[in-house]
Amino acid sequence: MSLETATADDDSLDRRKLRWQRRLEALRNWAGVLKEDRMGQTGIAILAVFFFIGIFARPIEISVGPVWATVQPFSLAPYEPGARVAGTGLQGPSWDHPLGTTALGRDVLSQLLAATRVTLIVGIVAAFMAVFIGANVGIISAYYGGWVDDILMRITDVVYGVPFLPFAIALVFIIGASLVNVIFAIVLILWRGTARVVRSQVLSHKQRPYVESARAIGASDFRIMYVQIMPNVLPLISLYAAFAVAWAVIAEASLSFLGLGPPGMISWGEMIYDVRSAGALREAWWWVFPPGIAIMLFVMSVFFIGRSLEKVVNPELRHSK
Amino acid sequence: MGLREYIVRRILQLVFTLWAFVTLLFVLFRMVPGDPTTRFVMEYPTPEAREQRIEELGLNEPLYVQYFEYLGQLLRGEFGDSTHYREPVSELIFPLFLNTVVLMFTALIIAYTFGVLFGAAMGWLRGSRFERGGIVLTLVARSSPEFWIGVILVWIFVFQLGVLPRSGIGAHGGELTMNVVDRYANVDFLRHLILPALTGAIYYMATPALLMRNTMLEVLKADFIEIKKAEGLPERTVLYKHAARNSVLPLVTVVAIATGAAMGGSVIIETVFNWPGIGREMVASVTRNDYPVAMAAFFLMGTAVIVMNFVADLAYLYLDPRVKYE
Amino acid sequence: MRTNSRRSFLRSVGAAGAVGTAALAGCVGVDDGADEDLGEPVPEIQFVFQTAGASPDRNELGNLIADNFEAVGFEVDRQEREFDPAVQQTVVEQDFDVSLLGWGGTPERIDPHIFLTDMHHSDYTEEGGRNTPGYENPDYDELAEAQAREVDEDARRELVFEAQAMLSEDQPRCYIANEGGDHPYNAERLDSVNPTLGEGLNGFWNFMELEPADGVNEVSFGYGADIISLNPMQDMATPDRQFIRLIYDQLYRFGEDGDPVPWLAVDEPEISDDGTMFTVEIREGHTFHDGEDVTVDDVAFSFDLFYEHSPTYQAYLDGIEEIETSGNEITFHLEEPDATFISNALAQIYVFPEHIWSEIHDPTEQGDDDYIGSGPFEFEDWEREVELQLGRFDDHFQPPNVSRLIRIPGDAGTLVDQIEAHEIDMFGNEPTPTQAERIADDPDLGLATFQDVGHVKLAYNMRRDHMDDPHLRRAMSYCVPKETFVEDIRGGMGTVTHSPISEAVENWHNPDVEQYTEDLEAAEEELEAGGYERGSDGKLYYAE
Repeated sequence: MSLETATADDDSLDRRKLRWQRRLEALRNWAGVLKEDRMGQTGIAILAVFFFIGIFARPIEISVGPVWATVQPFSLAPYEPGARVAGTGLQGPSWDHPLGTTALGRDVLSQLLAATRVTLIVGIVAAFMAVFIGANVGIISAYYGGWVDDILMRITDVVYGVPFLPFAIALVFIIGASLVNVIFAIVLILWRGTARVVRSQVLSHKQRPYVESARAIGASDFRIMYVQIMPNVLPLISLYAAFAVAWAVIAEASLSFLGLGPPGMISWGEMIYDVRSAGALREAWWWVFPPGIAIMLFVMSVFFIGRSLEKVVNPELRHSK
Repeated sequence: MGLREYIVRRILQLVFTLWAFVTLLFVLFRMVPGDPTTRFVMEYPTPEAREQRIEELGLNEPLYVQYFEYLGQLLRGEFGDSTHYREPVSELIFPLFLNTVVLMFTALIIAYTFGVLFGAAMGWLRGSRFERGGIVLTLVARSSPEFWIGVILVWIFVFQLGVLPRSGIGAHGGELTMNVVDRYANVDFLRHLILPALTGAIYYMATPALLMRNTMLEVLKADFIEIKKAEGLPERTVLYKHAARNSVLPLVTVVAIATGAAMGGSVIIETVFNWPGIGREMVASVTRNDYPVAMAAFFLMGTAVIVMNFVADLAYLYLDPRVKYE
Repeated sequence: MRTNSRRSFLRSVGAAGAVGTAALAGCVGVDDGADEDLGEPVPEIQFVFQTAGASPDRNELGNLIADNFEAVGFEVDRQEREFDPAVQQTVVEQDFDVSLLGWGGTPERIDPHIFLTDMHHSDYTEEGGRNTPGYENPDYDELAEAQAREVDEDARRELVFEAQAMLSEDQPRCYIANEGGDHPYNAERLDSVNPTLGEGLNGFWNFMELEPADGVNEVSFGYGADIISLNPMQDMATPDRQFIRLIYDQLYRFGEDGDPVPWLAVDEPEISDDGTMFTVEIREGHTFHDGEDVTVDDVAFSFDLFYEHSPTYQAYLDGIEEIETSGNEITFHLEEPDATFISNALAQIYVFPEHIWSEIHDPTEQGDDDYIGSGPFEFEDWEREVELQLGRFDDHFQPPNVSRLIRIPGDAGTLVDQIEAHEIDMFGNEPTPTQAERIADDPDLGLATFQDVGHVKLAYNMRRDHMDDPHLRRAMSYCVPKETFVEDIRGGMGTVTHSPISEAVENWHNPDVEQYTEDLEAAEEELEAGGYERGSDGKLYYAE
């Protein structure tokens, strides 16, 4: 073993420590920000409630081939969301149905609770995928520059030209409405913002000394990109992830409101579509307001969390509360 | 690299982007199940009659032939004929496009006027209860999908108070004219415009408000404000003259992007209010397999956004000398 | 054990059975494989129906049917599609086992010919043909052909009844309901309306005979879709025809009961003994909207024009050998006798002004932008997605009561809101049960009730081996909750049906066909009779 590699190893150990410290610091930063940021706290509290509802609203069953297992047997929802439980439709709130019933006699509260899960899944999965694609495009584009950058950025330009909602509508129409397809349509557009922002951040990081020195000791491109640079843009990425959750949820709600939601599942947007198509907007306030308010609260909580993340990314904002 | 070279390169990139975009549209709409005659399958007495129509539309040509024909058309500035309405796409789209532009332009004007003022006030009164409340309010507005804002407004102003019309762009039975003044400058139209424009304005107000607040904070920190204050000018003059003017720069580029967003978002507002606009037609044309209309609508909106982005880039270059020609 | 509600409709992601069945005992399990003494499992049923976005009512019905299919042991693949993709997949590509679609009822469909022949004769089974199930039965074909040739009404009725009975027996389709119902209108501004069979307020006779209240000159009419084209040479959807026929006249018009009545013609046509010559005398002194006389030459010209250029009507005019004119009479020579010639040709072809259309080079591409016809209404102006304006043609031999008619397209829900806000006067689609209730409670508004000719139906794809068994099809038809559809989902609007011919068409409807109402026991009996068995997993298998 030559001396050089030994030092490199020690070096990398130190580095690794440093890196972890950096990451922890970012988290600590966020915790620090959160401590004095009532909005961020509110956001996390609301989101936690939604998560709880999402998990316990209906039982969860997993089946692989012929084997099936109920992993979560509880049901917060008093009725099955699809079951027509009331003799007649469109009743206002009562003890049996705290939020009344739909035009076809389904329990609004059960639908509202069950829909939380769809929203969470769409929001989180779509945002994660979009940010994953966007961050990678941004990092690779900035790091390699040249023709790689050119091609990736032209693709981004094209996607920027595509109007989000009409495109999603067209795509869902073409490939059919299903949960996977709705997520796919959203992801296909949503990554563009992250890609641009991450790229410009990485461009400035690329010229910093720590990248130079990593190159000097012969670290691979992959290593530099994902081990050295990435942690530094992580706060920014997570900020964009928060925004992506918000946009994804709004997009899904809008698609569902137009009647293009995933069939066989109830989501908040779909509930409002149902009220509209039943022609009950005028009278059934108990049916139209809860899902609308739920969408609003959910997206709002994500924005609140996003704002506190923003203060970590951009410390100047911290003093302006 | 010099400025001129940079701009030339950017223009080449723009051309390439546009080509890729129209190609994407072509592929996308050829993927739709069915063809323009599908909707009328039940209406054709015989399958032969349908075949004949497909042939008329040139849809049995090889795809590459159709593709080059479509590119040629675009280069000549033509959009062809709607397969559904059987009339030139441009004639069909123009009034709808105008309606959407009027609606969205109004919404954006309201959003940016009030958003900027509101944001500036929040920045000026930083740390106050007004600012905190203002931020929450802006975020709530931004968290509400357009259809939800629309539904609430309809519920209040139409169903509960009955003071505003439910939908459409004017009273019935009047003169149908394409003269912009006669068409839009009347009380009837304005009454119909209020709710849809307000819906858009509420949703789009958040961006300028938050942005304005942030830039305001930065500007207020800068030295020259202190100097001006020391000179003894009244606070208000300082605020308007210097702070606001300096913080409008970033807004310029945002306006470009917001325009694109508003164009895309118009479909929801138009649906809620039955507004005869391009957004609704765009979606409807997809469902009818009316390729020429769908492609023209997407092309108009997409090109607007792509060109806007391009202009915004150049504007940045001009406004902010720190940007390198990368 | 596990119930079918596991797969129940509207499951939230990963949902399980109904509340309370979450007993921990049933927390883990294995679905049994096939039993020893059974044969192959019945293939999964590919069931295509519309999404909730495309049609909320039919989507609900589709899911209820699928639930029942599952309850009697079928495995169902629910393929929910938008309207165009659904039509493309089922009617054109014929890629389905069971499909749920509707057929609109228009006056020309009151005559049983289209529903019996075009939809069930083996000549129409090709891709895009109207015989979607691929029903091929030589006995039936013979009946369908015979009824088309039979000029004597009573004899024809017997054949039509027999055909309906045969269809019910074989169940290539399951007829569910005639959707008809109520069309809302403003009773303050309209003294009376005249809803007609199959079309309600969209009917020709409504626009002609509606009585506006005193001082009301202009009546606005909302409809859930815009007119595609007013050029009759182009493919037309039903809503287009409903307005084209106001602007243009025909020799005969369908009366309120669906029988053609003389219009531009002075009287019934004279039919030669062998049934191949139809002679029609034309009214004198009638003019087009531009003041030119309507002559027999215009009529002959129009028939030629349609034959040349209109793919939709070509088929109906194919049997004409020659057209002769003399004085005020026009004679059509047919290759062979045709009992449907009046309904399908004489009452369909619009009369165009020759002096305008002879100048038009390619009528299918470019029509007459002023829409000069001779009908009871004159074209005034039109902006797509905004409104179409028509005025009364005062010189018509039968002018309408209303002086101006405005047609407003838009989203159906929004238009009903406008009816309730008194912003429009009539609406040509059915409101939802909720809306109908509100309208019924409003003293200023009225509901015009009508019966439908068209229907909602299941088509069974008989080209597929497992669907080519009458027992299986009959069992499936016993799974269709027709009553629930009409009473609950549509709030009592429409009528349950068991035959392609609506009971509203009393002359041709056979009330005594075999009936299939929701009856899961009967379905299971049918399956047993067909040699199907349930495995211990509750699924259907063929016997060994």
